[in-house]
Order: sequence, then C-alpha cells, then structure tokens
Amino acid sequence: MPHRQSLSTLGQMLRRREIGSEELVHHFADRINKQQDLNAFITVDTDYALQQARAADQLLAGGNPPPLAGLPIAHKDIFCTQGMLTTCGSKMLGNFLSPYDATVVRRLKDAGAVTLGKTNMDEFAMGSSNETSHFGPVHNPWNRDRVPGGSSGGSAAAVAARLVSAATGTDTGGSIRQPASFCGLTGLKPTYGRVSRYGMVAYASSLDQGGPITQTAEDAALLLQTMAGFDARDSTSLDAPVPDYAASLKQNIEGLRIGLVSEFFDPSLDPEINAHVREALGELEKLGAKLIDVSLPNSAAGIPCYYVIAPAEASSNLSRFDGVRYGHRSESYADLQALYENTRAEGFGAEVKRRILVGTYALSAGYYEAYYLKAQQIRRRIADDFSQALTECDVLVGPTTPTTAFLLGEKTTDPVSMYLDDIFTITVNLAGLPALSLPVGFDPSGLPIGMQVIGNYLDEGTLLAIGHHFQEVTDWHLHAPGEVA
Amino acid sequence: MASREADDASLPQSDCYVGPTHVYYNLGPRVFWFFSPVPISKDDVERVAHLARIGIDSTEIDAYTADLDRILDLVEQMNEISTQGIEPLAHPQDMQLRLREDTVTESDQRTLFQSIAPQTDQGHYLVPKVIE
Repeated sequence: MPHRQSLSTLGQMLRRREIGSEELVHHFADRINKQQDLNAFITVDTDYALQQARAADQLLAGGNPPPLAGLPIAHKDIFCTQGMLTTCGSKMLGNFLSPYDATVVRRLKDAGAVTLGKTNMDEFAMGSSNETSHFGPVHNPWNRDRVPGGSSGGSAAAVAARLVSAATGTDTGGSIRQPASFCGLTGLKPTYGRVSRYGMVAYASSLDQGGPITQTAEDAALLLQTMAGFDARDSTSLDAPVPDYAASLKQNIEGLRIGLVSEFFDPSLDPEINAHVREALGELEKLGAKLIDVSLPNSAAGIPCYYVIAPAEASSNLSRFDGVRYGHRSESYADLQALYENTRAEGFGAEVKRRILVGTYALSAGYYEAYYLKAQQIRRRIADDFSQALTECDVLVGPTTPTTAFLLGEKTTDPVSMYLDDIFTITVNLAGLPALSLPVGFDPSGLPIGMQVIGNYLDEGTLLAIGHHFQEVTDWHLHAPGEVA
Repeated sequence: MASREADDASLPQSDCYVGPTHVYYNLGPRVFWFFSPVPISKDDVERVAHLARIGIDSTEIDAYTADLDRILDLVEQMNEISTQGIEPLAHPQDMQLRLREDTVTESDQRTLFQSIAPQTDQGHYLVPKVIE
C-alpha cells in the first residue's frame, strides 16, 4: 500500500511511473476521510490537490520533473496558502484567505509537491498538546485518549496515521520535535534563519522556525533541500549556501563526538525514556561515534526565560489582529475601542489571551528591565553554554521530552504544568540552533519515545547523517499505529 | 538577587522607590532591584488587558489573575541566575538587519488586500467614527 512508503520511496515510484500522483491523492484523501476522528486536518481540498496532481503527472511524463513532483504533503495551518484557508487554529483567522503564499509553501509548490490540506494546531502555535485549537483537539494515532503533542500536533498525527507522507511544522519552543517524539516520527527544527518565515503567521519572531515532520531522516533531508535558503522577504533569513542534504545523509559519523547533556539525564528522568535513549546511543557508538559528558549549566532557566521572551514578542505580533483589515470582527461595538476589545475578546482563546497579557505586562512601563532585559541576558548565557559545549563535541543529545504522550485534558487546567513539558526543547530555540528528534523506542504502554540531537549553527547535515545512519540499523521509524496496516 | 547599573533616567532619584513588583534601591551610581513578593492584582490584570485591547469579562478576571500569578512565579526563577554585565541577546546569531536599495519592489495590490477586509468603502478601511 502506498501509504506504507516513505516520501522518498514514493518519489522514486512516481519517477519510475509505478504509481501516479492522481492515484496517490485519491488514496490519501480516502484515508483522511476515514480517519476524521483524529481531527488532524482543518482544511482538506481534494479537488485542488487533484488539479495539482494531474499537472505533476504531466511533468513526470515529460521527463526532467522537479524534485518533489507529485508528492502529496500537508501544511501546518500557520503557513499562508493562497486559495485555501489559513486559520492558525484560531477563530480570529477562521475566515482568513491569504492573498499570497508563504515562501515555504511557494517553494514546495514550485518543486512539484501537491498540497492535500492544512493541519490542525494549537491556536497561534501556543501550546504543547494541540488542545488550544479553536477547531478542537487532535488525537494521537497511537492512542486516541492521548495528545499528539503540539503545537504542530495535526501535522504529526497526520503523518503518524499515514494520512499523508510528510508535513510541514513550525517550532518556537519544541513544536516540531515534541509532537514528532509523541507520534514516533522524525522532526527537524532547522537553525534560526535557515528556513524563511515569510508568510508564516508570527508567534515569537526571534524563536519561530519552520521545518519538516517526516517518517525518516532521508525524507527530512528531501524536504529541507527545498524549504531552506535565503529569502529577501524575511529580514532574519540567513544568506548562507544550502548544502546538498542527500549527500549529507551519507556523511561518515565515525569519530563524531556526541555530548551527553548531564542536565538532560537528571536522576528524575523517566527510567523507560532513559533506557531507550541510552540504547540508541549504544547504536551510535557501534557506528563509530564517541560519547562524552557535557554540561549546559543554565538549562533550568530556559523555561522562565522563554515565558518572558515568547509572550512579549507575541503581545507585539498579535496586536495586528484588530478586526479592521482581515480576520474576525465583532458585531457589537459602540466605538473603536470597543471594536478592538470585543474583536480580540471573541477572536482569541484563553491561552492566547494569557500569553498576550503576560507579554504586555512584561513590556509595560517599570517592568521592562526586570523581565524582558533580564530574559535576554539569560538567553545569552544559555546560548553561550551551547557554544562552549559545542567546542567539546560535535552534537549534543538527550531525550526530546520528559514523558511520553500524556492524556487529553491532563494538563489543561494548569497552564504552567503544560509549559514544563518543553524543558528539553526550549533552550535550543533560545540559542537558535538546529535539532532533530528521532524515534528510539516505545514505553510499556506502546507510546513512542524520542531522542533529540542538537547540532551547531547551520549543521543540519550532520544531524540528518546521524538520523539516517541510525535508521539504517534500527527500525523504530518503521513502526506505525495499528490502523495503518 | 540580580542587579544592573542604573541607565534609566526615568527611575526616581530617591534612595528607595517601591514599584508595583520591584523595590529599587539607589546606592550612589548603581540601582539595585529585586522582585517584591507582592502578587499580581486584579487591577494589574485589568490595566494590562486595557493596554492589550482585550476585553475581559468581570467573571473571568479572577481566573486570569490566578493564572498570571502562577506564570509570573515561574518567570521569577530567572532571578536565580546572575546576569551582571551580560549583554542582552536579541537575535540568536547577533545578526544585523540588512539594508536594501530604496526602490519600489511591491506593486499596488490594494483591491486584493481589501477583498478580505471586514468593511471597506472606496479603497478605505472602515472603523467607527473616532472624531465627532
């Protein structure tokens, strides 16, 4: 069955004309339709996908097709898509038809990929469980009582259930890696500035970064090749050459120094997660990597620091939703002030409001130095810790998450308990480094466990090589939830 | 406890200034602050909600106040780390914003952009009357 194949394999099958793109779209659309209970998608547009697929089939027949010709993918609903709703999981953008494509969307489209639909997500990417979505929570395909992770929860659930072969996501504090880990997938958060943020609805501009959620490191390399690269429309885009990631996959990892972050292997770490991550490290040792111990002494400050910087930036970014130019507008108002207040009261959910309020508080007169400036200083200390550790080793590893997927509703009553779930991923965003989450096993109740590999700036190639070599000698990435068979 | 040099001319010049969440001590050329244990109040939440232009129902105020208080408790763990003399980090790679030629690069797309606006008239966005 085609859905059991990786994106890369489907690409080869399409090129060999063993299958057509139109057939693939029918197949995946049928799967999406049968698993609507997952709530992984906000928008599915089969007719539009079929149109793109027919065009791709012609390119494939003509010879010399673009690199992703005919491959069906899905976009997190944070990426602007012309002609298809972009809701960002919010009532505020429930009716929003973007007048343009995000750079990521345009590049993937130009490379021949077929957009099947838009995936569910935490509202404005604020959440770690996909439960803050205005369009309802997403269920984890491994166990429908559990969360898929967030904020790219719909993308992860869709790929895990093989409703689509790969999807885009965004990661501000762990939103690609944590759902990838909870759903048994490979998730790559690239270096800040590697992938254009143009047309990606902004949450925290100095932390947000788009990336792929896939079944394999090979698939992540295939998508990153097209997604990465300088974009003049993003003022923080890095003007650096994009390496050949397919070649990077084959990079030798013998002698590679892997740093075990002592703070990530705290004695309180879940023993099952600890055992599986260490087993995976054993595999990498067999492949010739060397393990050394390193420390990131200021890691614990990552969460408090993030919960100043991200809400502060969010309070500024989300001020654009005013009911005047696009999106939701309240029907009840007497004056302009009430128009703003009612529009925003109705359009935003509770978690978004909490973060805007915290951010506004932190930036307001008399508080700026104690909160925002202090957080930016801690941010430098955290980034310096990584720079120091990365002089002693080539990559850093630890578990992606402190627990496997938790129950729906388990952490919704206490926002802070939800925040603590991002302890291992959040510092990477503060430093702007790339990181890859790989599936490395299952806990006794059959829930996936992820290992995070953190690399140096712009060194996505080494992360992908580690992932690829590991997936050549293990089969965790081939496991899929029961319904997939 | 963290401290930093007083470079903010807006700080009062008395020896001790009790702010809403901080107490500032003016010790010659340096001002030291620390977080006061005063929890965030309902008035603070109302003030911030007004600044953020988010209407908050009176029935929701208590819940938001409690949530914000817990979040700020978490945030205050920052004070366990000394940041004296540390340069703030605004961008992960300390990059400078690029400059470009001052030339027109975008075409006029007003009609397209206004096609998704809640209310427009003759090329203008409509809002309630601001000036009588």
